[in-house]
Amino acid sequence: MLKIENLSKSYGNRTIFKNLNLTLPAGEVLAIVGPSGIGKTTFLKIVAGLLPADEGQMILDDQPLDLSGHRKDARVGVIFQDFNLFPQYSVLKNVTLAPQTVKHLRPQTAQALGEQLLSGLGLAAQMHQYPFQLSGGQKQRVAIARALAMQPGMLAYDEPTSGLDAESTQRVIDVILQLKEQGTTQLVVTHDLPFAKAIADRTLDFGNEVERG
Amino acid sequence: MDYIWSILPSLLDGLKMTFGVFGLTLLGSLPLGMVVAAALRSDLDVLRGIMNVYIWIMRGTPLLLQIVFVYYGLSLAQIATFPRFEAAVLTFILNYAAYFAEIFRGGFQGISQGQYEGAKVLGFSPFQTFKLIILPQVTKAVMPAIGNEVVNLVKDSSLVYVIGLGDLMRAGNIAAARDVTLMPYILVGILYLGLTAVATIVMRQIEHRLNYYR
Repeated sequence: MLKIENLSKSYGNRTIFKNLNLTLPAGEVLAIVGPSGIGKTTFLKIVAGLLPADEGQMILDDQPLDLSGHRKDARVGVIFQDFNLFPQYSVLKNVTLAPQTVKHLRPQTAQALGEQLLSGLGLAAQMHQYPFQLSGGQKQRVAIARALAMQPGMLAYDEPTSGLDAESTQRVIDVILQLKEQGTTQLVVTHDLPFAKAIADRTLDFGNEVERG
Repeated sequence: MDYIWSILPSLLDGLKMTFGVFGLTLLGSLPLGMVVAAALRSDLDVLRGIMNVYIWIMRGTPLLLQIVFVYYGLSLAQIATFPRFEAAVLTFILNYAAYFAEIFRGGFQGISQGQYEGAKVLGFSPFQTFKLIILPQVTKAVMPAIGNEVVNLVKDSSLVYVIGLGDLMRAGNIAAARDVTLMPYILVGILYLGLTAVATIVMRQIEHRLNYYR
Protein backbone atom coordinates (compact mmCIF):
# COMPACT_ATOMS: atom_id res chain seq x y z
CA MET A 1 0.00 0.00 0.00
CA LEU A 2 1.16 3.49 -0.87
CA LYS A 3 0.20 6.40 1.35
CA ILE A 4 0.97 9.96 0.32
CA GLU A 5 0.48 12.64 2.94
CA ASN A 6 0.51 16.41 2.47
CA LEU A 7 2.87 16.25 -0.48
CA SER A 8 3.77 19.66 -1.91
CA LYS A 9 5.99 20.83 -4.73
CA SER A 10 6.64 24.22 -6.21
CA TYR A 11 9.18 25.82 -8.50
CA GLY A 12 9.94 29.31 -7.26
CA ASN A 13 6.54 30.86 -6.64
CA ARG A 14 4.78 28.50 -9.02
CA THR A 15 3.00 25.82 -7.02
CA ILE A 16 2.76 22.53 -8.90
CA PHE A 17 0.62 20.88 -6.21
CA LYS A 18 -0.04 21.42 -2.56
CA ASN A 19 -1.04 19.12 0.32
CA LEU A 20 -1.65 16.16 -1.94
CA ASN A 21 -3.10 13.22 -0.03
CA LEU A 22 -3.55 9.86 -1.61
CA THR A 23 -3.93 6.24 -0.61
CA LEU A 24 -3.30 3.47 -3.09
CA PRO A 25 -4.27 0.10 -1.62
CA ALA A 26 -2.04 -2.86 -2.39
CA GLY A 27 -2.81 -4.48 -5.71
CA GLU A 28 -4.81 -1.55 -7.03
CA VAL A 29 -4.24 0.47 -10.16
CA LEU A 30 -4.50 4.23 -9.90
CA ALA A 31 -4.52 6.33 -13.05
CA ILE A 32 -3.48 9.96 -12.78
CA VAL A 33 -4.94 11.90 -15.66
CA GLY A 34 -4.96 15.48 -16.84
CA PRO A 35 -3.65 17.59 -19.69
CA SER A 36 0.08 17.90 -20.30
CA GLY A 37 1.98 20.57 -18.42
CA ILE A 38 -0.15 20.22 -15.32
CA GLY A 39 2.55 18.57 -13.19
CA LYS A 40 1.77 14.88 -13.59
CA THR A 41 5.30 14.00 -14.61
CA THR A 42 6.76 16.11 -11.79
CA PHE A 43 4.56 14.15 -9.40
CA LEU A 44 5.70 10.85 -10.91
CA LYS A 45 9.35 11.88 -10.65
CA ILE A 46 8.88 12.61 -6.97
CA VAL A 47 7.24 9.21 -6.47
CA ALA A 48 10.15 7.69 -8.40
CA GLY A 49 12.67 9.44 -6.15
CA LEU A 50 14.18 11.47 -8.97
CA LEU A 51 13.00 14.88 -7.75
CA PRO A 52 12.84 16.18 -4.19
CA ALA A 53 9.49 17.06 -2.64
CA ASP A 54 9.19 20.32 -0.71
CA GLU A 55 7.01 18.86 2.01
CA GLY A 56 5.05 15.79 2.93
CA GLN A 57 5.76 12.12 3.15
CA MET A 58 5.21 8.90 1.31
CA ILE A 59 4.88 5.51 2.94
CA LEU A 60 5.12 2.34 0.90
CA ASP A 61 4.26 -0.90 2.69
CA ASP A 62 4.73 0.75 6.11
CA GLN A 63 8.22 2.05 5.28
CA PRO A 64 8.78 5.72 4.45
CA LEU A 65 10.21 6.48 1.02
CA ASP A 66 13.11 8.91 0.65
CA LEU A 67 11.78 12.15 -0.86
CA SER A 68 15.05 14.10 -0.90
CA GLY A 69 15.71 13.29 -4.54
CA HIS A 70 18.60 11.04 -3.48
CA ARG A 71 16.78 7.76 -3.06
CA LYS A 72 19.09 4.76 -3.09
CA ASP A 73 16.68 1.85 -3.08
CA ALA A 74 14.58 0.46 -5.92
CA ARG A 75 11.32 0.03 -4.01
CA VAL A 76 9.41 1.97 -6.64
CA GLY A 77 9.83 0.40 -10.07
CA VAL A 78 9.61 3.01 -12.82
CA ILE A 79 8.60 2.57 -16.45
CA PHE A 80 9.66 5.70 -18.30
CA GLN A 81 7.96 7.18 -21.32
CA ASP A 82 11.14 6.63 -23.36
CA PHE A 83 11.81 3.33 -21.56
CA ASN A 84 15.46 4.28 -20.91
CA LEU A 85 16.72 0.79 -21.64
CA PHE A 86 20.49 0.38 -21.70
CA PRO A 87 21.32 0.09 -25.42
CA GLN A 88 24.63 -1.73 -24.97
CA TYR A 89 23.08 -4.68 -23.16
CA SER A 90 20.88 -7.51 -24.40
CA VAL A 91 17.26 -7.60 -23.32
CA LEU A 92 18.08 -10.27 -20.73
CA LYS A 93 21.04 -8.33 -19.36
CA ASN A 94 18.92 -5.19 -19.11
CA VAL A 95 16.75 -7.19 -16.72
CA THR A 96 19.48 -9.04 -14.80
CA LEU A 97 22.09 -6.28 -14.42
CA ALA A 98 20.51 -4.49 -11.45
CA PRO A 99 19.56 -7.64 -9.49
CA GLN A 100 23.13 -8.86 -9.94
CA THR A 101 24.94 -5.59 -9.29
CA VAL A 102 22.70 -3.90 -6.77
CA LYS A 103 21.09 -6.87 -5.00
CA HIS A 104 24.10 -9.15 -5.46
CA LEU A 105 22.01 -12.00 -6.78
CA ARG A 106 24.05 -14.88 -8.18
CA PRO A 107 24.32 -14.76 -11.97
CA GLN A 108 22.37 -18.02 -12.36
CA THR A 109 19.62 -16.83 -10.03
CA ALA A 110 19.36 -13.46 -11.79
CA GLN A 111 19.35 -15.19 -15.16
CA ALA A 112 16.53 -17.53 -14.11
CA LEU A 113 14.55 -14.60 -12.73
CA GLY A 114 15.08 -12.59 -15.91
CA GLU A 115 14.05 -15.45 -18.16
CA GLN A 116 10.95 -16.07 -16.09
CA LEU A 117 9.89 -12.40 -16.14
CA LEU A 118 10.55 -11.96 -19.85
CA SER A 119 8.73 -15.18 -20.77
CA GLY A 120 5.81 -14.09 -18.65
CA LEU A 121 5.63 -10.88 -20.67
CA GLY A 122 5.81 -12.67 -24.00
CA LEU A 123 9.45 -11.80 -24.71
CA ALA A 124 11.01 -15.26 -24.65
CA ALA A 125 12.10 -14.91 -28.28
CA GLN A 126 13.65 -11.46 -27.76
CA MET A 127 15.87 -12.20 -24.75
CA HIS A 128 19.12 -12.15 -26.65
CA GLN A 129 18.26 -9.22 -28.88
CA TYR A 130 19.30 -5.62 -28.24
CA PRO A 131 16.88 -2.78 -27.48
CA PHE A 132 17.33 -1.19 -30.92
CA GLN A 133 15.95 -4.36 -32.50
CA LEU A 134 12.64 -4.15 -30.61
CA SER A 135 9.34 -2.41 -31.28
CA GLY A 136 8.07 0.28 -28.89
CA GLY A 137 5.67 -2.13 -27.24
CA GLN A 138 8.38 -4.74 -26.75
CA LYS A 139 10.76 -2.15 -25.29
CA GLN A 140 8.10 -1.18 -22.83
CA ARG A 141 7.60 -4.75 -21.68
CA VAL A 142 11.37 -5.08 -21.23
CA ALA A 143 11.23 -1.94 -19.07
CA ILE A 144 8.44 -3.53 -17.02
CA ALA A 145 10.44 -6.76 -16.63
CA ARG A 146 13.52 -4.75 -15.65
CA ALA A 147 11.57 -2.90 -12.96
CA LEU A 148 9.92 -6.10 -11.68
CA ALA A 149 13.28 -7.86 -11.40
CA MET A 150 14.12 -5.64 -8.43
CA GLN A 151 10.93 -6.83 -6.70
CA PRO A 152 9.63 -3.33 -6.04
CA GLY A 153 6.74 -2.54 -3.74
CA MET A 154 4.94 -0.86 -6.62
CA LEU A 155 5.27 0.15 -10.24
CA ALA A 156 4.96 3.70 -11.59
CA TYR A 157 4.42 4.36 -15.31
CA ASP A 158 4.94 7.65 -17.14
CA GLU A 159 2.63 7.94 -20.18
CA PRO A 160 2.88 4.26 -21.08
CA THR A 161 0.77 4.52 -24.24
CA SER A 162 2.45 7.50 -25.85
CA GLY A 163 3.90 6.49 -29.17
CA LEU A 164 2.25 3.04 -29.16
CA ASP A 165 -0.19 1.80 -31.79
CA ALA A 166 -3.60 0.39 -30.87
CA GLU A 167 -2.38 -3.18 -30.76
CA SER A 168 0.56 -2.37 -28.48
CA THR A 169 -1.70 -0.26 -26.28
CA GLN A 170 -4.02 -3.25 -25.86
CA ARG A 171 -0.97 -5.33 -24.95
CA VAL A 172 0.00 -2.81 -22.23
CA ILE A 173 -3.54 -2.94 -20.88
CA ASP A 174 -3.31 -6.74 -20.75
CA VAL A 175 0.05 -6.60 -18.97
CA ILE A 176 -1.11 -4.07 -16.38
CA LEU A 177 -4.23 -6.12 -15.66
CA GLN A 178 -2.17 -9.31 -15.52
CA LEU A 179 0.17 -7.70 -12.95
CA LYS A 180 -2.81 -6.40 -11.01
CA GLU A 181 -4.12 -9.96 -10.77
CA GLN A 182 -0.76 -10.96 -9.35
CA GLY A 183 -1.20 -8.25 -6.72
CA THR A 184 1.15 -5.56 -8.05
CA THR A 185 0.35 -2.03 -6.90
CA GLN A 186 0.50 0.28 -9.90
CA LEU A 187 0.37 4.02 -10.45
CA VAL A 188 -0.07 5.18 -14.03
CA VAL A 189 0.34 8.75 -15.23
CA THR A 190 -1.43 9.23 -18.55
CA HIS A 191 -3.37 11.71 -20.64
CA ASP A 192 -5.07 8.85 -22.49
CA LEU A 193 -8.55 8.68 -20.91
CA PRO A 194 -9.86 5.50 -22.60
CA PHE A 195 -6.65 3.77 -21.57
CA ALA A 196 -7.02 5.03 -17.99
CA LYS A 197 -10.57 3.69 -17.94
CA ALA A 198 -9.45 0.29 -19.17
CA ILE A 199 -6.83 -0.26 -16.47
CA ALA A 200 -7.69 1.77 -13.40
CA ASP A 201 -9.57 0.92 -10.24
CA ARG A 202 -9.52 4.63 -9.58
CA THR A 203 -8.72 7.77 -11.53
CA LEU A 204 -7.36 11.00 -10.12
CA ASP A 205 -7.85 14.06 -12.27
CA PHE A 206 -4.68 16.04 -11.65
CA GLY A 207 -6.18 19.10 -13.31
CA ASN A 208 -9.29 19.40 -11.13
CA GLU A 209 -8.86 17.43 -7.93
CA VAL A 210 -5.40 18.56 -6.91
CA GLU A 211 -4.87 21.70 -4.87
CA ARG A 212 -2.58 24.21 -6.46
CA GLY A 213 -2.52 26.94 -3.82
CA MET B 1 68.99 -1.73 -52.11
CA ASP B 2 72.20 -2.18 -50.14
CA TYR B 3 71.89 1.40 -49.02
CA ILE B 4 68.39 0.76 -47.66
CA TRP B 5 69.66 -2.23 -45.70
CA SER B 6 72.53 -0.16 -44.37
CA ILE B 7 70.37 2.59 -42.89
CA LEU B 8 67.42 0.42 -41.84
CA PRO B 9 68.88 -0.54 -38.42
CA SER B 10 69.24 3.10 -37.37
CA LEU B 11 65.71 3.87 -38.62
CA LEU B 12 64.28 0.89 -36.72
CA ASP B 13 66.17 2.09 -33.67
CA GLY B 14 64.42 5.44 -34.08
CA LEU B 15 61.14 3.58 -34.48
CA LYS B 16 61.55 2.22 -30.95
CA MET B 17 61.63 5.77 -29.60
CA THR B 18 58.53 6.62 -31.67
CA PHE B 19 56.73 3.59 -30.24
CA GLY B 20 57.80 4.53 -26.73
CA VAL B 21 56.44 8.08 -26.99
CA PHE B 22 53.27 6.83 -28.72
CA GLY B 23 52.49 4.05 -26.25
CA LEU B 24 53.25 5.95 -23.06
CA THR B 25 51.32 8.97 -24.26
CA LEU B 26 48.18 6.93 -24.92
CA LEU B 27 48.57 5.10 -21.62
CA GLY B 28 48.81 8.37 -19.70
CA SER B 29 46.58 10.73 -21.65
CA LEU B 30 43.44 8.61 -22.05
CA PRO B 31 42.83 8.17 -18.30
CA LEU B 32 43.94 11.74 -17.59
CA GLY B 33 41.60 13.00 -20.31
CA MET B 34 38.74 11.12 -18.67
CA VAL B 35 39.54 12.67 -15.29
CA VAL B 36 39.71 16.16 -16.82
CA ALA B 37 36.39 15.55 -18.62
CA ALA B 38 34.84 14.54 -15.30
CA ALA B 39 36.27 17.70 -13.70
CA LEU B 40 34.75 19.77 -16.51
CA ARG B 41 31.34 18.47 -15.42
CA SER B 42 31.95 19.29 -11.77
CA ASP B 43 29.74 21.68 -9.80
CA LEU B 44 32.82 23.53 -8.56
CA ASP B 45 33.30 26.68 -10.64
CA VAL B 46 36.96 26.94 -9.64
CA LEU B 47 37.76 23.41 -10.77
CA ARG B 48 35.95 23.90 -14.06
CA GLY B 49 37.76 27.20 -14.57
CA ILE B 50 41.19 25.64 -13.98
CA MET B 51 40.42 22.82 -16.40
CA ASN B 52 39.22 25.22 -19.06
CA VAL B 53 42.42 27.30 -18.76
CA TYR B 54 44.50 24.11 -18.96
CA ILE B 55 42.69 22.99 -22.11
CA TRP B 56 42.93 26.47 -23.60
CA ILE B 57 46.70 26.56 -23.12
CA MET B 58 47.28 23.03 -24.38
CA ARG B 59 45.13 23.46 -27.47
CA GLY B 60 46.02 27.09 -28.04
CA THR B 61 49.81 26.74 -28.34
CA PRO B 62 51.92 24.55 -30.63
CA LEU B 63 52.96 21.19 -29.21
CA LEU B 64 56.51 21.95 -30.38
CA LEU B 65 56.59 25.04 -28.20
CA GLN B 66 55.24 23.07 -25.24
CA ILE B 67 58.00 20.47 -25.57
CA VAL B 68 60.67 23.20 -25.66
CA PHE B 69 59.06 24.94 -22.71
CA VAL B 70 58.89 21.82 -20.53
CA TYR B 71 62.42 20.68 -21.36
CA TYR B 72 64.35 23.96 -21.53
CA GLY B 73 61.99 26.50 -20.01
CA LEU B 74 61.19 24.77 -16.74
CA SER B 75 64.86 23.96 -16.28
CA LEU B 76 65.99 27.54 -17.00
CA ALA B 77 63.38 28.90 -14.64
CA GLN B 78 64.67 26.38 -12.09
CA ILE B 79 61.20 24.92 -11.59
CA ALA B 80 61.92 21.36 -12.64
CA THR B 81 64.50 19.55 -14.70
CA PHE B 82 63.42 16.51 -16.66
CA PRO B 83 65.51 14.14 -18.74
CA ARG B 84 64.70 14.46 -22.45
CA PHE B 85 62.50 11.42 -22.79
CA GLU B 86 60.51 12.13 -19.62
CA ALA B 87 60.04 15.76 -20.67
CA ALA B 88 58.76 14.68 -24.07
CA VAL B 89 56.36 12.06 -22.72
CA LEU B 90 55.06 14.38 -20.00
CA THR B 91 54.35 17.11 -22.55
CA PHE B 92 52.64 14.71 -24.91
CA ILE B 93 50.46 13.31 -22.12
CA LEU B 94 49.42 16.80 -20.97
CA ASN B 95 48.74 17.90 -24.54
CA TYR B 96 46.79 14.86 -25.68
CA ALA B 97 44.83 14.63 -22.42
CA ALA B 98 43.44 18.11 -23.19
CA TYR B 99 42.21 16.98 -26.61
CA PHE B 100 40.86 13.71 -25.22
CA ALA B 101 39.09 15.60 -22.41
CA GLU B 102 37.24 17.71 -24.98
CA ILE B 103 36.29 14.58 -26.92
CA PHE B 104 35.06 12.82 -23.76
CA ARG B 105 33.16 15.94 -22.72
CA GLY B 106 31.25 15.79 -25.98
CA GLY B 107 30.67 12.08 -25.44
CA PHE B 108 29.19 12.67 -21.98
CA GLN B 109 26.94 15.41 -23.32
CA GLY B 110 25.51 12.98 -25.84
CA ILE B 111 24.20 10.64 -23.13
CA SER B 112 20.55 11.35 -22.37
CA GLN B 113 19.44 12.20 -18.85
CA GLY B 114 17.12 9.20 -19.13
CA GLN B 115 20.05 6.80 -18.88
CA TYR B 116 21.04 8.29 -15.53
CA GLU B 117 17.43 8.24 -14.33
CA GLY B 118 16.94 4.67 -15.54
CA ALA B 119 19.99 3.59 -13.56
CA LYS B 120 19.04 5.57 -10.47
CA VAL B 121 15.57 4.08 -10.05
CA LEU B 122 17.14 0.61 -10.23
CA GLY B 123 19.35 1.50 -7.29
CA PHE B 124 22.71 1.73 -9.08
CA SER B 125 25.27 3.85 -7.22
CA PRO B 126 26.81 6.80 -9.09
CA PHE B 127 30.01 4.80 -9.61
CA GLN B 128 28.13 1.73 -10.88
CA THR B 129 26.11 3.97 -13.17
CA PHE B 130 29.28 5.50 -14.57
CA LYS B 131 31.10 2.22 -15.03
CA LEU B 132 28.30 -0.02 -16.30
CA ILE B 133 25.87 2.33 -18.03
CA ILE B 134 27.55 5.58 -19.07
CA LEU B 135 31.18 4.75 -19.82
CA PRO B 136 30.43 1.99 -22.37
CA GLN B 137 28.15 4.34 -24.29
CA VAL B 138 30.62 7.22 -24.14
CA THR B 139 33.41 4.91 -25.34
CA LYS B 140 31.39 3.93 -28.38
CA ALA B 141 30.45 7.53 -29.13
CA VAL B 142 33.98 8.92 -28.93
CA MET B 143 35.83 6.11 -30.68
CA PRO B 144 35.94 7.72 -34.18
CA ALA B 145 37.32 10.98 -32.75
CA ILE B 146 39.83 9.10 -30.58
CA GLY B 147 40.97 7.19 -33.66
CA ASN B 148 41.69 10.47 -35.37
CA GLU B 149 43.85 11.64 -32.49
CA VAL B 150 45.69 8.32 -32.36
CA VAL B 151 46.73 8.73 -36.00
CA ASN B 152 47.76 12.33 -35.26
CA LEU B 153 49.84 11.11 -32.34
CA VAL B 154 51.83 8.75 -34.56
CA LYS B 155 52.90 11.75 -36.66
CA ASP B 156 53.19 14.25 -33.80
CA SER B 157 55.65 11.95 -32.04
CA SER B 158 58.22 13.16 -34.61
CA LEU B 159 58.31 16.52 -32.80
CA VAL B 160 60.52 15.07 -30.07
CA TYR B 161 63.50 15.62 -32.40
CA VAL B 162 63.44 19.25 -31.24
CA ILE B 163 64.97 18.30 -27.88
CA GLY B 164 67.38 15.87 -29.46
CA LEU B 165 65.56 12.59 -28.97
CA GLY B 166 66.46 9.98 -31.55
CA ASP B 167 63.13 8.97 -33.01
CA LEU B 168 62.34 7.71 -36.50
CA MET B 169 62.25 11.19 -38.02
CA ARG B 170 65.56 12.18 -36.49
CA ALA B 171 67.21 8.94 -37.65
CA GLY B 172 66.06 9.78 -41.17
CA ASN B 173 67.32 13.34 -40.87
CA ILE B 174 70.76 12.23 -39.79
CA ALA B 175 71.10 9.68 -42.58
CA ALA B 176 69.87 12.16 -45.20
CA ALA B 177 72.32 14.85 -44.09
CA ARG B 178 75.24 12.44 -43.85
CA ASP B 179 74.71 10.66 -47.15
CA VAL B 180 73.26 13.61 -49.09
CA THR B 181 70.29 11.65 -50.38
CA LEU B 182 66.51 11.79 -50.05
CA MET B 183 66.21 8.03 -49.77
CA PRO B 184 66.05 8.00 -45.94
CA TYR B 185 63.13 10.43 -46.06
CA ILE B 186 61.28 8.15 -48.47
CA LEU B 187 61.85 5.25 -46.11
CA VAL B 188 60.75 7.31 -43.14
CA GLY B 189 57.59 8.27 -45.04
CA ILE B 190 56.86 4.63 -45.83
CA LEU B 191 57.39 3.62 -42.19
CA TYR B 192 55.04 6.39 -40.97
CA LEU B 193 52.45 5.34 -43.54
CA GLY B 194 52.74 1.77 -42.27
CA LEU B 195 52.33 2.91 -38.67
CA THR B 196 49.30 5.09 -39.38
CA ALA B 197 47.77 2.30 -41.47
CA VAL B 198 48.10 -0.12 -38.57
CA ALA B 199 46.73 2.48 -36.14
CA THR B 200 43.79 3.15 -38.46
CA ILE B 201 43.00 -0.54 -38.91
CA VAL B 202 43.16 -1.20 -35.16
CA MET B 203 40.89 1.74 -34.38
CA ARG B 204 38.41 0.69 -37.10
CA GLN B 205 38.36 -2.81 -35.62
CA ILE B 206 37.54 -1.42 -32.19
CA GLU B 207 34.80 0.77 -33.70
CA HIS B 208 33.43 -2.23 -35.57
CA ARG B 209 33.35 -4.30 -32.40
CA LEU B 210 31.34 -1.60 -30.63
CA ASN B 211 28.87 -1.44 -33.48
CA TYR B 212 26.77 -4.36 -32.30
CA TYR B 213 24.19 -1.91 -30.93
CA ARG B 214 22.78 1.47 -31.78
